[in-house]
Amino acid sequence: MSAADSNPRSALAQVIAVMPRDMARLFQGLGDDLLHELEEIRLRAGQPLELCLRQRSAFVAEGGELTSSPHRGVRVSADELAQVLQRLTQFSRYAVEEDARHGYVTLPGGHRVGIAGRAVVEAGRVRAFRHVTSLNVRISRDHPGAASAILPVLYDRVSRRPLSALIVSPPQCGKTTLVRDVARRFSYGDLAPDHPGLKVVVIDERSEIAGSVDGIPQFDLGPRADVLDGCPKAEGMMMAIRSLSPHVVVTDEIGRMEDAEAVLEASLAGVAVVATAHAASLDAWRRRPWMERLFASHAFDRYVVLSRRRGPGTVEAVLDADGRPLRRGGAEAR
Amino acid sequence: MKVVGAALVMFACTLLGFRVARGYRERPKALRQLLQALIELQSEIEYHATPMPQALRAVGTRLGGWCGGWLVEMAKVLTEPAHAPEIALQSVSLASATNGSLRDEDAEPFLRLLRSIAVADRDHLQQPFLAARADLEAAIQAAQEEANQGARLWQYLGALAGVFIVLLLL
Repeated sequence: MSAADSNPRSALAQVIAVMPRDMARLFQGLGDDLLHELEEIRLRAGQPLELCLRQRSAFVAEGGELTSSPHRGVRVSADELAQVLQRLTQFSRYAVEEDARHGYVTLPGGHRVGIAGRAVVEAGRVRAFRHVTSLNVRISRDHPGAASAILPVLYDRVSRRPLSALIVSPPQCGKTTLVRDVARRFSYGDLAPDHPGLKVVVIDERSEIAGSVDGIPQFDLGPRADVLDGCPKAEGMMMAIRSLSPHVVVTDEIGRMEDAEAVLEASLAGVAVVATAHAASLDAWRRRPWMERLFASHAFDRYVVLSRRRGPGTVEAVLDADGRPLRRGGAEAR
Repeated sequence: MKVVGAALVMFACTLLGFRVARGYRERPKALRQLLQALIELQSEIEYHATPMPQALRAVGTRLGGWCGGWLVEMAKVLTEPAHAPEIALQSVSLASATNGSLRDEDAEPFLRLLRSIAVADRDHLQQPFLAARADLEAAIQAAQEEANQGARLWQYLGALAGVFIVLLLL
């Protein structure tokens, strides 16, 4: 166990490991209650080190105490930022090239690090980032039981089969945490007392669901989960259907045409898909290119809309395949 | 007694000569092992896009011996947060790993390669490998020529020094 551990220090260990020594020391001085609330670490060249907590943000002052004054915060130098970036990429930019092109790198343990700087563009597409000026480390944590509130609606008791579902929310509302727990619960067979576990294939393009290190999942996904780590979603879904005979395919952040086609293909093949998408509501998601077609084809049986209204993982609504509410408002997934 | 003493001096000097000669012969062999490691590292990195520490560890484990140990040690220091990577890499001594067959400066083509590929994208990996390979091949050739001349010379020198000392003593 690493990031999967409920101990906030061990969840942060992989993040601290990429920090220069002085910066790492500042984090070691922070209290456990604060680390529990920590959601993002923002490093900007020449600016104070910022921590985004559940309900507020603060700067880290000399000695490790938090301050709201940017002038008192410890400044991150360009050299320190370069060191962090080197360690993030494991001195191997070639190995994270594809992710970095999309503006992020994933750390062992599933922590995603967003990159900002000067983009190098080739043929109209971002090829790389040089002169990186900001990094945003999003802390990934495991919350076993996060899916308890929605699990009953993801299973058809009559046909005894899992249902396809799309988890919709803006960023930082707990989508990945939720699908991770769904995968785990399906895999363990927590659906019904007499129901065996299901074969789950996790297509983990960004290594966030399983938090794999060298291909080995760091989060517990149960005994019946297979992980295609770093595999493009659409290609991974087709590979899984052809060769891994899954009951359920779990993946993160669908949005491209090929993702939509693969979800459709899976639903026609009788494989349930549990996926996530960035959108404020189901209607907003439907307005995205290719997604209306997916909605109209009833590829998903359920839509779960999340928010942060009562903290990350608040279930705002559960909708059926036609977008009609099955349940509305306020249940907390965590 | 004198004869025994003379024989002992002869033996010691000849042995010393042979030891120095062996050092000359070991050097191209050790450099060839370094080249072999580089070739394996190239396929690990170019084909599998394995991150550097894992690639060094995998090749090191496969190769074994002093070269394997040296690569694994470099992988280890790269994953330790204590130092900046450039300083960390230089702290792994090639001279100690090879018991003096190679000097620390002999690692420079290898270290230069690691520094170059750390910031290279996949399309630009081949060039640093070719450059490092060329540097190592040149070093092997020079070491081989040096070994051809030096090894024999030191063998003779050892024996002759023994004879000279014996003559002086007698």
